[in-house]
Amino acid sequence: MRNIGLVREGPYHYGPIPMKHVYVVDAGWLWNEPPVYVGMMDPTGVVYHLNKGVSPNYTGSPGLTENWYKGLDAKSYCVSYDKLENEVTGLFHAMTNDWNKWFEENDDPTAKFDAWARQRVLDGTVKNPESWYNQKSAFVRSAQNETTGYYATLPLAVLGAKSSVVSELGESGQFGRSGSRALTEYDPRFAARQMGLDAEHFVNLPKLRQQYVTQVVSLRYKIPALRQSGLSTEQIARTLSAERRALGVLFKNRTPPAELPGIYARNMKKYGDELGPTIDYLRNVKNKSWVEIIESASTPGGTDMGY
Amino acid sequence: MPVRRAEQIWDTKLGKNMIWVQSKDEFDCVAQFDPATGVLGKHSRAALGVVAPTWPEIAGSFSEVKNGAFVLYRYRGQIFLRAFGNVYELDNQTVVNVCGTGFKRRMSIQTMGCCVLDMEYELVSRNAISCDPTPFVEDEDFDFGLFVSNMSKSRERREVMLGKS
Repeated sequence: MRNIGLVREGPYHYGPIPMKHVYVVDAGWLWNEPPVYVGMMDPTGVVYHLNKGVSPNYTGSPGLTENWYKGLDAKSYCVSYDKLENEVTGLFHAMTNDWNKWFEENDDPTAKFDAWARQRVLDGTVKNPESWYNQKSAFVRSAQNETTGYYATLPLAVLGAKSSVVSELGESGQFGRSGSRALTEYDPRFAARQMGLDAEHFVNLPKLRQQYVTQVVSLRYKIPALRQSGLSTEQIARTLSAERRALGVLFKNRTPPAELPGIYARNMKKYGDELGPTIDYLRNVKNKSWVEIIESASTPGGTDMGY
Repeated sequence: MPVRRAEQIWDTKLGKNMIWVQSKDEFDCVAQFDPATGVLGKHSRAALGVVAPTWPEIAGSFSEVKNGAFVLYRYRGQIFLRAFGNVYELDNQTVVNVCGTGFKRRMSIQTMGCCVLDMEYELVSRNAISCDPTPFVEDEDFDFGLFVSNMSKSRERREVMLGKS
């Protein structure tokens, strides 16, 4: 997995250009594991389905304007910036297996992506992009077996990320083309709104806490896919519980070392586990139902959340 | 070395009506509880070793506050709360409310619209850590009254406690 939608602070650039036609777009990101769409676009909602490959359905109003670019291995879905009034929408880019290889060979996508993509286009090594999608069925993969990775668009993968690409070529704006620019900016208020939290409260949390909350809330967007894969409610609860505990580990490692002993000691004493309540504890001491465990797993807690 | 089961301890020493309850203040602490008298016999899990109760044997939980102890337990297919020397059945008709700030709390229990308890209690400590990244930690973990209140308002949780869900 290259990136699991960690909150990023922008902007990053693909190169400065004058603003003529503005489109809200995003770069595609390749994942070795299914990405988590943590942002529901407003007013354009996204319903996320993922098994192998992705086929997100876009709903809401205004609808997206679909554009198909030949000669590139990226298919872009654009909606004019002014229609969305500063909201984020997503551009979905197909990537070839070669891109996957590129990501495997390069650890810093943002630094090397632009030059690499341009070179790919200039070389003419990108072939037959139409085969990647059924043009009439937006966002439905027509050739899933041609890829080994998963795709996510940054605004969907990162709560609160506002992203835009400005293209001097307007409607023909080609991703990666010289002169286009992408900006990504993390807006904690936007993130809070997406998560249904009090924005004023959220922005005053420490940055680390914001990231943690964002990751926790992202878990709820995995539920549809888990259900679709046939897991029972108990299995989903156990899965999310394990992932939530893993997040606890991840963020504990980022907690100031001086605070860790106190947290571990409190948890060990109170719950018998330094990572906090186990699923046995939740079931047998707190008497939580499986549905409640699922809800708890994707709900940030703590006194600072104002609950 | 022969393994003694937990049941053998209470069968022989404390009687068949005793049940195991888990402390919500301290995981290592379990207690044998007599629903008839309200007596809590506390033990250390570590000290009990192999005879410490397993999860299916735990029939409830308890917490100590400054002016006593709460015990929420299942007994003969029903859920009861022992608080301030009295026992209240936590059925579908009963609602427990808790209010207060800081360490001071007020608990009221209403059954079919009638108030059967209105008492104050004081938390021993809160132990909540601001910016705590520990998952599944909730305010009710630090206030047993709030835990009981939440239980009273959730049929699902009561069914889990009764082993029906």
